[in-house]
Amino acid sequence: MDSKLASRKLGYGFSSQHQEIPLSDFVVNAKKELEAVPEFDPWRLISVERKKKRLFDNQSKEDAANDEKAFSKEYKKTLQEYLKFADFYKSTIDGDFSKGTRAAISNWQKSIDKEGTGYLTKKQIKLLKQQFGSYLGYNYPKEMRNLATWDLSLSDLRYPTSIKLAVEHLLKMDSERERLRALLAAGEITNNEVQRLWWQKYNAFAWWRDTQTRSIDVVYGDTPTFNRFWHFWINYFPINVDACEAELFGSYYLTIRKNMASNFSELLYDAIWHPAMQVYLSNQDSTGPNSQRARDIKKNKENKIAAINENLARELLELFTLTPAAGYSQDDVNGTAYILTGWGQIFDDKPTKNYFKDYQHEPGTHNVIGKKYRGKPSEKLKALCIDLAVHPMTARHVAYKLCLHFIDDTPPKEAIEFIEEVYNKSSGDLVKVHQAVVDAVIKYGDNSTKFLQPEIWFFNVHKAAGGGLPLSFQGNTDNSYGYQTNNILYEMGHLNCRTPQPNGWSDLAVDWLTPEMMDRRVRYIIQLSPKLEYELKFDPDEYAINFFGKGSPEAAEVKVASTFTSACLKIFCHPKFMRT
Amino acid sequence: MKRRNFLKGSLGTLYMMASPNMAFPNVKLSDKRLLVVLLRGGLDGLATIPPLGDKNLSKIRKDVLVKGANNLDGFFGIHPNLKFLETEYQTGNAAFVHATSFPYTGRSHFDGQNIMETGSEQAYAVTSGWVGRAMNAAGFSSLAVSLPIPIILRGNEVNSNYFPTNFAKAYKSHYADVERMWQSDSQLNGMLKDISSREKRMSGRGNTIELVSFAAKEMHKPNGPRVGLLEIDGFDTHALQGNEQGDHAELLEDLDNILKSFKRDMGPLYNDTAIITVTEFGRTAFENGTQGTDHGWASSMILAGGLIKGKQVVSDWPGLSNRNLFEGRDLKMTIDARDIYAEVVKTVFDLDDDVISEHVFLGYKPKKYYGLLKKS
Repeated sequence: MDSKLASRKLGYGFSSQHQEIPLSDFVVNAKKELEAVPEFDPWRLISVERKKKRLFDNQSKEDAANDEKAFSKEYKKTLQEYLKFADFYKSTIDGDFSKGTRAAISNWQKSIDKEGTGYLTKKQIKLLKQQFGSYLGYNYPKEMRNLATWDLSLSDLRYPTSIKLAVEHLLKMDSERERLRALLAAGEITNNEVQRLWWQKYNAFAWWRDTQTRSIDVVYGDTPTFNRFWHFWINYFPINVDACEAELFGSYYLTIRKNMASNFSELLYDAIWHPAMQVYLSNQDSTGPNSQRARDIKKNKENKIAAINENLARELLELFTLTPAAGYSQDDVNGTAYILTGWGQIFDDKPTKNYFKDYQHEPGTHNVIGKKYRGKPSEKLKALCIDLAVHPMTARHVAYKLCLHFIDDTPPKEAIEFIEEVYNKSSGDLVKVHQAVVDAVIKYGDNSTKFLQPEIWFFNVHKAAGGGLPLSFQGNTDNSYGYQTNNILYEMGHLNCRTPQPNGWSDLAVDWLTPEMMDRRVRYIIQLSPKLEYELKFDPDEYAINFFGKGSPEAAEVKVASTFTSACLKIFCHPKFMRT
Repeated sequence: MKRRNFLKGSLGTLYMMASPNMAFPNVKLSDKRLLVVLLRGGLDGLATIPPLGDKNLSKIRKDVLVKGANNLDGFFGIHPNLKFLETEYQTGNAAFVHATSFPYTGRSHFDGQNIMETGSEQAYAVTSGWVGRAMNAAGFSSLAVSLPIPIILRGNEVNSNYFPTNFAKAYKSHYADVERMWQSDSQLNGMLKDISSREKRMSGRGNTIELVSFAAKEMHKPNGPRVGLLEIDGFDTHALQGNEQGDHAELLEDLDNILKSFKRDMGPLYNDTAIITVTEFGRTAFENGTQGTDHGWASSMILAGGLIKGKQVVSDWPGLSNRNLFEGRDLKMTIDARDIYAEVVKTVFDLDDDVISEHVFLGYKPKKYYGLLKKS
């Protein structure tokens, strides 16, 4: 195996600029990359993409100044609000464009690589509004305010990064939705108006940001191996946007990422109690039959049965840890469900730490596979996660899933056992486990192939081409057509946030190799190739030599391709590119 | 607590199996058609075909108890949203089987779905599906109409699929380049053969009713598909399942409308058609703590179409009292679903009992004949 192949098996491939390094160096680098969690900051990378796409804006300063004369005082105040939210304007909102405001405008203009004239052009006002207008009033983290430095209309790429902010935002969206629905029901506004108002305030589909931000980080960032493992874990603990509030996605994925250099038990615990998982597997209303909530239901004669919902409990044992091969019983599922009661209380008026409340928690001792869980209600889940994490069946399952993703559809027994042993010896230390995967891929990967899932293939294509990501944001629903990451991945059958079932997307080639899905890949390359030709100046010949080797028949085929599109097809749709 | 809508619609995906395989020129081809409807997530049989005559039903269910179910035979009723199916039942074109399932009690979706699709008694024991194997034994090749090809159809040598797309068209010369390149890859070779010669394409995102219409149209062609497969997700109603209204009721309404338009589009061919539902398991008899139901065992099955001997609910009712429930919580299976599917396969595919037992259900011999299909 050479380092090129290793970079494809353990990352997202390479671009034309790739310099071959010895395999041993690759291994050292990859392992180092996995030692700590790198900062996820795709936002800083947008400037790289920006250079490839200039904002076409030719309104002169005089023109802009002329426009401004017609602005009302209220409108000027709004613009000051935007600038203030963007951290450029510090003074009072008075609608008076004097020295302070001019300086603020000028500084903001410079921050987006424009001339600091102090007068906003039409396009700049639009950009300012897109980037700050819809989020006015929300106390978002600092990094989200720095959007002014992005020269793209990428308001859709923002998402609340902390769990607390995500939940608060979700609740605000909920009440806004209720408000608009009430207005609609009362006949005060039309359905179109509902759409418009909703869109104006929340012009974003949080789940789009997942693939878009990850695609930016993969193509321009420098931690592809870490990101590939991230992809693995978000699919190991999948959630679906249909069943879980979209606003929770960002913080959920970042929570998973945050734990990737910890112990599996911590990753497990944080994934399970995270509101996204709680809502997805409908645990938050699961009620202990002997809880205070159960007594209130009885007392108030509510038409509700005070009982558990075992959905999350079952998947916790089946998919995330032991697997049915461990032979647990229905009683173990029930015990787990009792431990899980009380979590996910995000709709509570006074949210508690980690959204756990005793109120509906089943009191007492609960048994799971021969162990008793008692004591402080909010601490039972952590104790259970620690025990499940060190169970040998969990080690085997994690090792198997990793091999399935990184090595082969029918992974060699030795590879599984190797990773399993590292897992057991280190009690689930994820750094050691991930590094063992690197070793196993190098050792066993030569005789195995993986057919790339659509998302991985798509990221590989753009990494190879050096960019050209479809990041434009058009339309106002996620069903709109257009060259946007989410649409393209939907068409290819693999829009990450729409995992069909809680066992995640399949790692097996047989589940992806269908005529329709293969047709979509051909069509995407045809659709993409003009962009590669005119905007990115991608050179297929150069890349083919780099990828297939100098003098190889495949590179020769690319060389004689009759059109640029045909040359691209001969690279990106070649079986060697579609497999690693 | 606000009521939140966890299940949005029922974006169905449709698969079709097609055209006589040229490799079996001497096989007798029946002109019968089959539509298989996969209900993923585990259908709540007690809400679909409620046993109105069982006094325990209203004791163990509150919020999910379906009110206004229409009486079918004095004991069983039908969900009020299944209007088309009720009419079909009354006119002798639909029947139901209750307390039926595969003999799997593990309550895992993934093991359960694998078993319902492979037709094996063990999950992950075989990689082909029972419908696929039946097609193969009958000498049909297959065409699936959706993005992934589900396991239930696998086992045929030729699998193709179909689903609307919004991507721009590719030219024949592009396909030619790619097909040549893929010849050396055993899995990719021939993959685009059908696609590249297809005359027209639907665009859009797969409206289920449109897909079913398309399927019906294709099934009319002399060499067209004999089997269609429709997949509806969302039956995993753990929370806020609803009753005569709500999420589950809406799913049933969708299903009812889909079957109604399928009948319309099949025209006279409907007389030679059977429709069956397949689900991985039923749900707990008891309502859970989140106005929903958890994974159980037996469920109800829907059979419709001109080939079905309708106006009957076939059941050996096990009862809903605590001691009659499996492990005190799930409706017991008293009819092996494979017995019913074997009858359907026998009629639609003209296969012998031995062939069905050996190839379709991997050694399982149906225990009883229930007479759910009309004698041809």
